[in-house]
Amino acid sequence: MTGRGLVASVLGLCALSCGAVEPGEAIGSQAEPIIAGEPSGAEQDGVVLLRTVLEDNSELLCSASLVGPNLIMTARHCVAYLTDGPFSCSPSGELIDNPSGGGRLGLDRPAASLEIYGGRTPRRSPLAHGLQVISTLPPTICENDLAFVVLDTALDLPLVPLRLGRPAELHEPAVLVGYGTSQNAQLINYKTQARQQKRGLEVAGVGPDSIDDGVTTVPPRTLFLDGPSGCIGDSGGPLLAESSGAVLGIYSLQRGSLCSAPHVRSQLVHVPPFQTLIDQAFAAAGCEPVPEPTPEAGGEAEGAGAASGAPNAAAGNESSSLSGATGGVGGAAGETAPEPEPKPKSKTAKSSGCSLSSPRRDADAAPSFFLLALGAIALRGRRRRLRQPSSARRRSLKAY
Amino acid sequence: MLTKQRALRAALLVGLGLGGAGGCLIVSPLDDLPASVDGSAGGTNAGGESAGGKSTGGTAAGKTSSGGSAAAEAGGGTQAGRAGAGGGCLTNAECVRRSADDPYRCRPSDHTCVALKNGACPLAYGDAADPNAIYFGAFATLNPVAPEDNSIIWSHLTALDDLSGDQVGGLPGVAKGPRRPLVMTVCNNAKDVVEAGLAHLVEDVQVPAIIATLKGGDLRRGFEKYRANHDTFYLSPVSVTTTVANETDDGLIWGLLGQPSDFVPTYTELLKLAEKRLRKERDMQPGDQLKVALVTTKDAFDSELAIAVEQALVFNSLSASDNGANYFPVTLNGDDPKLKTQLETTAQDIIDFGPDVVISTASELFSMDGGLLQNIDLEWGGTQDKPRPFYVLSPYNAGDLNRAILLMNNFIEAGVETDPEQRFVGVSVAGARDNTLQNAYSTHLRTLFKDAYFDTANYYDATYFLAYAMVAAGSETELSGSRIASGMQRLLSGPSYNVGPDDIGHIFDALSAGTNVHVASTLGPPDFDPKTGVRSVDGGVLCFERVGDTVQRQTDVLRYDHDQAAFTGTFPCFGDFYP
Repeated sequence: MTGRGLVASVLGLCALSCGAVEPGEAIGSQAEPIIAGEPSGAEQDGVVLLRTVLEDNSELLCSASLVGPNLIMTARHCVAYLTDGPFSCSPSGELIDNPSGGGRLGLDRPAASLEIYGGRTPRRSPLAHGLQVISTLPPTICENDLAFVVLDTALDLPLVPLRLGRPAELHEPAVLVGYGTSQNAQLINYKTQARQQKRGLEVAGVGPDSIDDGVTTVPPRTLFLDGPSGCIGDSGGPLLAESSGAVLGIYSLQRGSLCSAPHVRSQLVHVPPFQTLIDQAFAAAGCEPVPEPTPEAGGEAEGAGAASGAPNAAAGNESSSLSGATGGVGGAAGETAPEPEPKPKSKTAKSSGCSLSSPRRDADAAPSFFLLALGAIALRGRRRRLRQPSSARRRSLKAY
Repeated sequence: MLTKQRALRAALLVGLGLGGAGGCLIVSPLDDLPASVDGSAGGTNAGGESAGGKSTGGTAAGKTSSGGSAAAEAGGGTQAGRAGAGGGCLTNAECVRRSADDPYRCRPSDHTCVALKNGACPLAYGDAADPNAIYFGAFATLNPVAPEDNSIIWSHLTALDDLSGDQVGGLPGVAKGPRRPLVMTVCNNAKDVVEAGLAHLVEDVQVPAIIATLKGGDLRRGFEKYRANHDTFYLSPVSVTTTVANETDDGLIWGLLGQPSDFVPTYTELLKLAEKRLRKERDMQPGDQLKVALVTTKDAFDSELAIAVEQALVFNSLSASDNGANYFPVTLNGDDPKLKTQLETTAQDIIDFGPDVVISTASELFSMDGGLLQNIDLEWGGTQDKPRPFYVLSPYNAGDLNRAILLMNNFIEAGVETDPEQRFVGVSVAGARDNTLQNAYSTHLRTLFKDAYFDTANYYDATYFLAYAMVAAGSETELSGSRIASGMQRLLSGPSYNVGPDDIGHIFDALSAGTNVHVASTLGPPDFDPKTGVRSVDGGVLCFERVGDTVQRQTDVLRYDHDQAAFTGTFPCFGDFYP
């Protein structure tokens, strides 16, 4: 029951202009030591484990953020059909170099197949199931790899605030939280996998909000992290602003096949540009997002739950927002915390000097990198699949 | 025998798993068109997607939107973004920009940004940000893993590439204004989401027209639900039920591929030919009685077709009803939660009956993996020592022939039967008498989507008819279903032009000048019934020809000519059949 291994769900070649080239890396997958993180405390209990039960009873494990009592935010590739195989993403966010169709996203998986578990172990039964998946339905993993899932149960867990109205800043200190593989682990057992956090990160790139703003080295609506951070199982996990605990990004892809490689680069979905989607998701869930605490309001964590408009009565005092590396920052968005003033859109990504003159042709000349989508499938499920009748084996061709 | 049957079944299942692309014919109301979806299937998908992206698909999200900057700035920023889903808007580009470059439109009725896509309608193509965009809806049977790999969609996109691609740029603008690109939202016609898809198109996006690749019952329900409050035009690229054809619809429903009654003579003539062949092949004496089973489902089109066919069937020189115990009608229920058991039980009932001929007016329940056909042929034997039955497949089955072909191939390979292909014929829609346009379409399609199945010209035609009807509707900025319906009437007579890229400019000019035109499509002339809006069609016949150790389908080998009340053509698949 406990023997589960990992496979990387997607590997690919990613073309990113002006980036370092790692041509020698193999297209393969294994669980690698990751993060070099540290245990995630109870204040981060709003980061939950998302288990997707596939048609053949294998599973896909991801991380997610509870952003409303009955609403989680995660990577869309955790909740949608994904075609396996190598692929690349161009700086404009287009899927390229995928001869076998790798990196393409299909329809959303049935919401009922999505199970939510909390941080406390051992986990037994799910705290909630999915009720509705909401996303921009991107056709590829290269753009807008973000999804919300309305849950069938309101959870009594801390809510994670969102940064709204202003972008993440270049070099902004951040913390990554997730249920991915840890330093020495080669297996993930969803019942016992610990949540980890990685402090001391900083945003290494911020993409434009729209392709109309031009192509930079960072795809639209994405963030970069340089150096080891997340790994298999961290997909969908939040990157939190160290100063406020608000979600800046959602872990999505990794360039490079080894999570622990010194120069590995991670790609995250930049959350603030998705205001419309956020509005739709919260409207569907019938709640309001917890806004980002202002630095001066850092200690007023208790108000977060009440401010969220959560139907969960218990959320008021217990919904302290996630803390970042600074610990007690989380949940500071009390009733009095004003929403941050919109700031001018960050143009920092363009300052990297890698703007391309021809947005539509950028992919052709771009060097290749590896991307690793960080979902996890239990080996047990795969072994079982091999013993199943031929009809089930057919389905496995489409699975990860 | 049992072991052999099981081994055969296993082999068939594996074969199906590896078989990949499904076949389809234009007659198929709702088939699962070829979708090379397996991630491990190699490079078959890439070309199609690449072509699609470069032609019409890839820039769907308004990434190349023009003229949107001012609007975006006016509506940009946080507050505008918050209002994006439900707040005010002035331009489409503004909505697209607010929404992470996702395809949105600024809905004219209330100046609200609305997403073109949702869970039921997951695909959108075209420049949604264009201020002059014309939005319409379409349906297709989407594969969850690779919804864009779909020959119905590829067929639509081929037409959109002609009409709305770089060369033409869209429909003529209002008062010689900029061209109006077409933007298509594609919804899933799967049973569980088709209602949500219709609601999204009609109520949310408020499209004036839908290319309605829907089952007859779904189309009727959708039309009747929304007709009171929404002026929407429906063009069905597939066959419709008589109920739909006769709907009091003010001309808002049109159909390209006929209705059940069009296929009845083909069925009856095929049964005559089958009886003649079987009596000779099986050395049946005049007193020996042919036994016939007729299979249908509770689907509206299937059941209507069955009723019409049953009334016309003659075998043993008697009507079906007069044949008594020699006639065995069967109705499958697709809503049965124990469908597998139902199919197995029904198959056994049919085997026990021992038919010489099985006639299908059923859709996927007959031809799908694990469907009735497989169950009958794989379980045949035991107490039944007659030869396996002769099959007459339905127009729906004609679009879903891979399982039947694999069944035959496995019989050949396993030595179960020498010539299984000689037991199968099928009813379909006859193609145009002149194949020039069909061939041009096929060539064009394959240049854009190399994996596309080419017998999908009805979807291409539908896109053209809709586009021209929009042009013929007049110069209103906001099109309505009623105006498009009026525009359809202007495409039926006048100077003759063809669908396809060559005549686009001529037709635009003629319609804009007030001249009605006669639009010949890949399917033939626009023989729409002016009362019903449904085009009448001739039934066609398909068969299977042995090539080495496998069988290949031969489509459109015979045509039932209504004028001559007889088949025309040649039948190449086996002897003692036709003439």
